[in-house]
Amino acid sequence: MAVAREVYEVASTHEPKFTAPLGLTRETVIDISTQKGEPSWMLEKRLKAFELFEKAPFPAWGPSLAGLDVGSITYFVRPDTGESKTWDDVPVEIRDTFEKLGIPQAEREALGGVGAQYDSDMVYHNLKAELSAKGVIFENMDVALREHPDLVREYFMTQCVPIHDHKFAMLHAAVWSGGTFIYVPKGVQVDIPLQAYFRMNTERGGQFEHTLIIADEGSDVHYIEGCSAPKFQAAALHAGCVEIFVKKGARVRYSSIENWSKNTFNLNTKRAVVDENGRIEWLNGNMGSGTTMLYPMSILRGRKATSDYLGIAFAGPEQTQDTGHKIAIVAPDCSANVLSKSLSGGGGRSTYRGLVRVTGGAERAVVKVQCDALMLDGQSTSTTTPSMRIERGDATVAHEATVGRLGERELFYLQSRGLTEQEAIRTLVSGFLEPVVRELPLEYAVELVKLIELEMESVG
Amino acid sequence: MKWADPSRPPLGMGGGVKCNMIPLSEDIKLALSSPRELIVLPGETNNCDEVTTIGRGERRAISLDIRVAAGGRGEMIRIFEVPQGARLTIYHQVTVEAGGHWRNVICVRGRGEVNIRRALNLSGPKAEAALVCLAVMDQTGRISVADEMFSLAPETKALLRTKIVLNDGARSEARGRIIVGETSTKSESFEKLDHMVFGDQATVAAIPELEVMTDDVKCGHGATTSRAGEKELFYLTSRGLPLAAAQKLVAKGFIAEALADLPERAQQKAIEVMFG
Repeated sequence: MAVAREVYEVASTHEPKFTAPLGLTRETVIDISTQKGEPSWMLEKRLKAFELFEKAPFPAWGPSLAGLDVGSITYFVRPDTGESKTWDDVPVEIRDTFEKLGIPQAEREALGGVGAQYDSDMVYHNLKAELSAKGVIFENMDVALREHPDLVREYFMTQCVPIHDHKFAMLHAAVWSGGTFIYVPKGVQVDIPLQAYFRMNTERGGQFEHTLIIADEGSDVHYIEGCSAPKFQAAALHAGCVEIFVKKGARVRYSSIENWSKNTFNLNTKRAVVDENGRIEWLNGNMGSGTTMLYPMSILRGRKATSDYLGIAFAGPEQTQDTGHKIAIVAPDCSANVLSKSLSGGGGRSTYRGLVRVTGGAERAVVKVQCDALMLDGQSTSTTTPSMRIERGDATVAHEATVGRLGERELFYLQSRGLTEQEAIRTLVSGFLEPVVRELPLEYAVELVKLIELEMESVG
Repeated sequence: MKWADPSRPPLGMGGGVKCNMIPLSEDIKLALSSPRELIVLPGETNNCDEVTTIGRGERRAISLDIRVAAGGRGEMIRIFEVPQGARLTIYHQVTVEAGGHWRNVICVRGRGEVNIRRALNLSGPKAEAALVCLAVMDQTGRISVADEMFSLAPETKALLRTKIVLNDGARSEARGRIIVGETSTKSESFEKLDHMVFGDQATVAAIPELEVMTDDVKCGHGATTSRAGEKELFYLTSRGLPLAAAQKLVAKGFIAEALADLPERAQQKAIEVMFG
């Protein structure tokens, strides 16, 4: 798969059907809900969240958000098209964008279903007929709100990520639009991954897609998200939200490669609630955006629930990648494993910020956290801030972190075998990332590696 | 090593280093108003060790401003017994200059409240320092440790080491932060926070932090929290040891590993106070 920077960074010429004025007002929130024809309870939820957002302070910790002017963002941009079930019905400028990103090809070759979101609305959604026949629901979140209101009302920003969770969850709840809804019925195994791709195309734009996944008892699903945005002069904002419910004995694998443009603030919230014998697997790649604050969280609330997190972050010039994983264990015999790899170069700043919380009811919890940081030059910064709070005497919690540079001996060895310095560096970086990359389906692994190579070119 | 002339103006905050991680408690503010100042002179090799028992209901705050001059070597081993109702607060601000070497070991046993804050600045090339905290806290015991180390010069070596045994109901919060500045090339910094817990009711918070601003360094940190090994306890009890004695032996092994390179007299005193 060939990956070139222009594919991600060049804006399409598609003219939107509707663009909300800059800044967020109560009227904008009402307008979003009205345009979508939402039930009154959702509008009430949005307005409550808007009130909370206005009162809540910006976080006092983490990277600086000084460059983020929430009054200069467009919170709702509708492309001039409805949602299509075939790519032929998607307007040609939008289709071209997704063709360049390789989405239709991936759908043909490797996916069970695909959704594509352009600014605030989904423009394409399709699910293979055999999965549909098994009762799998894979829908645009707006459509799901209309067609499965009871399910959405029960699970949407209630127990997993409540609307008052933090300032950007409040913002998300007020202005969310589009996203994905997945329901996998009891005992159904979805053998091929489902994917959604989110593309932000508007200058000063904001994207607030909501992903809600419910894997019923004994089911199994792999969902992949990709994200990108063109490069503009003015800052953009991404504050999506992912809620995952893993019921008894179910397994969900959530993979995401986020490659927003360098002037995007990526302030995303992702959380999974896992019941008895359930398993959540996270695979998170953070390549783009100027500032990222992203800490996917697993709440293990059923006996023997497990969580596995693999993360890669790359912080290049003028980038701050503040990422990590949070685990809260409240039930007995649960276990969690975290492996985080970060690269920083060209003055970039990468931070691992994590939390392990073992509560009084979490008998015999076992948690292992490992974070490795590789620094490509002396101008970059790497920080690890894991936090562990354990309220049980029988918990086993281990954390390990290393920060280092590329080994001179290894570089010398590879160069003495005929590799150029750049090739030798690439080889060592690939080796460093291999434990994470090997967990991705091949075509995504290739894309991830290519993206990192692109980022390394910017480091020099 | 000598105590500075109290009539002389103090060096002030260990040469500019402060422990910023947690707001200063009233006890520390009080102690800071009259810090003792200690200077480790060049070419000297010194160590001191002493056992201090805090009285029941007593509040003791100790503030030290320490400067290890270029080429000086200093070691301070302090062993405390803190009974129920007593409160001990320790605040150290240390600057180690070029080629200087400083090691501070604090050993604590008790059911009282212990707050330890140490800030250390490796200001000169090849400065080395180790901050060690070893504690055995029983039922009502509470311990809070926050060590912050700034590595600001080339070829420095830093070690933060905390090992705490918590018996049922005791609580611990341990923080360690190492900051490696841009100029601290070829430095080595490691941080390890380990807890061993007996019983179900203990509470542990461990927050190791690392901030590295240059690539030519070796850095790492680790933290573990675990229950005393059931296999080890089973083995010892099956050999006829009562459970309490077996637990003490396992805990002693856990702590003693960090005492291994202290002078023998200090080792004996520490073991005696912590496990006697």
